[in-house]
Amino acid sequence: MAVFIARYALLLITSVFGLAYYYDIMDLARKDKIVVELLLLLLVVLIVFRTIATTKNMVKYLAERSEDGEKLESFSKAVKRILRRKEVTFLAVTAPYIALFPIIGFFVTSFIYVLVANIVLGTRGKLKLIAIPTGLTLFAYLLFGSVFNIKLPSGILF
Amino acid sequence: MELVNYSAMMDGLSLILMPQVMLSIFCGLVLGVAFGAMPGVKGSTAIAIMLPFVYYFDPIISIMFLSSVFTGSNFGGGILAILLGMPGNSGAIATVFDGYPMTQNGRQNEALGIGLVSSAVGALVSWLIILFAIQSIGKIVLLFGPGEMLMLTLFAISIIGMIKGEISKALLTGIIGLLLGTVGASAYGAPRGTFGSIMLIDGLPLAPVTIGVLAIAMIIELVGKDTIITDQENAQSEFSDIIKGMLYPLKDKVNVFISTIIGVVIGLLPAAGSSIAATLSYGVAQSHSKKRKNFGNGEPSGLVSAETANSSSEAGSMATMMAFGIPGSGVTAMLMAAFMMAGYVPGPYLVREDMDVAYAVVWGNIVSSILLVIVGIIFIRYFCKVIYIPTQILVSGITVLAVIGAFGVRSLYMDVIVLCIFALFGYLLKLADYPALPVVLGFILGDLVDAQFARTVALYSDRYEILLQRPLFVGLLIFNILIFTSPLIRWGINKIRRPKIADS
Repeated sequence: MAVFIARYALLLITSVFGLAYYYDIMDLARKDKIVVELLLLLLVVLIVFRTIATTKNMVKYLAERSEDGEKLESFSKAVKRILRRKEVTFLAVTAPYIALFPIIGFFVTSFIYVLVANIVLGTRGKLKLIAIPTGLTLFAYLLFGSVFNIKLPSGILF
Repeated sequence: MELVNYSAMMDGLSLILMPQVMLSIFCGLVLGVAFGAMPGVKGSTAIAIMLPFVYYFDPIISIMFLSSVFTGSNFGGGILAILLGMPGNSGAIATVFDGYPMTQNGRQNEALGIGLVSSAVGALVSWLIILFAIQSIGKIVLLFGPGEMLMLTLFAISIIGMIKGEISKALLTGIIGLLLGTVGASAYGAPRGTFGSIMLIDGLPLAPVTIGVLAIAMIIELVGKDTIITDQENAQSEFSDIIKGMLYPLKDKVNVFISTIIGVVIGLLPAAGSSIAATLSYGVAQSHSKKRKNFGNGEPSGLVSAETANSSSEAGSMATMMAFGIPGSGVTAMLMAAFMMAGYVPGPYLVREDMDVAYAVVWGNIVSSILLVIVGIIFIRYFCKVIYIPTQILVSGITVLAVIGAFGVRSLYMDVIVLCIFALFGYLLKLADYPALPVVLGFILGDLVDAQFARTVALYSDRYEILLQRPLFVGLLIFNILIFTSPLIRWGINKIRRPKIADS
């Protein structure tokens, strides 16, 4: 069921993007939008085709499941199962890192992020948990900060 | 004018045969491979970083050092594509098609060996071709106008249809990629798909989109696994596996030869780039291979064609830069700056007045192609162990490097946001079982198609019959029509055949 939810979500996002792009180029001169219009037309055809194909596959899948006497997973259960996945935990740890590094500072945030991500994802052992974030942050600081001179956000700390 | 200036060729060789030049080539290769194998660090970035350091060097030493960084970074990008499924540069995208599946099947040592020798042989043969053809390159380049370039780009796009899985899924994601590639100012300067943001006027940034869709999405997927490879017990771990892979391109001679020619010719064309060379070559290899059904599932021949064309296009683009003074890519623009810093102006003047220098660069790159094998072996001996690192350590480390890669190019936080958006989009593609590679392929080619289309319209508007008088254009047009209609023709043939079989 999760794969069908993902497929419909993808088709919906693509449709919204296509529609927004169409409205953005509507007032442009023909020469500026002809390639985009052609691509949007192809996109519409493919979205319609894939929506029909996905619906057909889902109906077939549901029919097979009910024939086998298996209980169908409800939509809310499927969503809950997706949210409990390890990948979602990783995303939940990564989102604050992305949001906070320009405020707190890249190197401090990166150290905390690598430490927390490793704990959450199952790395065990004090030495490992200290060595990995320290090593990576030092490597990033020396190579990108000092040698390449890339100005990474310093924020309120470092 | 004679085709080959032998005295200048020998003078060029004598300029190269110095220990300092050899050392600079070796160091350039080491740094190039190291930079290229880092997510988000492209060849042009590596050369830009190194440019100030070589300012006071002897001209030939500085040019050869930077040129070797270019060669090394090309191969380094391939290492990343093979081991982690993320192309280190746009030319390495076709390397992912078969390189990463080989790694997932536990054949990473063999894949790295194939990638190394394909790169080295592609570069060596292409530079040998340039050595004898540098004075007559102009004639080939002038055959390709905007119309022919448009046809070539369209052919590269047709590769989307060859990606494994359902064709409609690949086409849908390919179209999304092409649309994303058109975001930014049009060829006539009008903003498209920017939604009022001035930051998008140059288009979506390449590194964040590529890293997001392929690398981070792959990283998110890796979280649920223990290691990259599915069967760790049967994974290759011996040095002999690397050697086995290194010998493969030498047996696949026809594929190597065709891919090298494609790479050199596409590389010669300004703005065509290594991504078109590699994807075109991959498509050609797939069409003439007996194992075409294995392509996309870890077929060594696919990897050979992609890596050979990628590295040989480098020779072509360098030759155009030296002969015409036209930099075809960001990297050649950087190298052109290096030539100018050294007091040489690339273009007809260089080929006429300083031919020995042009030949010295060609010789130096021939040496660099051979040395790449030695440097490459040292690197892949260690890099192939990446697959044994537990994913929980790998994912956080790569995420930090990817953020630096996205942020570092323009120092804009918006690029990190773009990275995150495309990472989520890439992960959604994985959840929905849609291929992500066509998005990146379309994204790279979308801008090119649009630009070449605009040039063709501007040049031939209301007199398109002139285009039909150009034999190369007509040939490429017929070829494209055949390629794009082949699924329909195949479907029609099957429809006709099936009732007959049923009758019999």
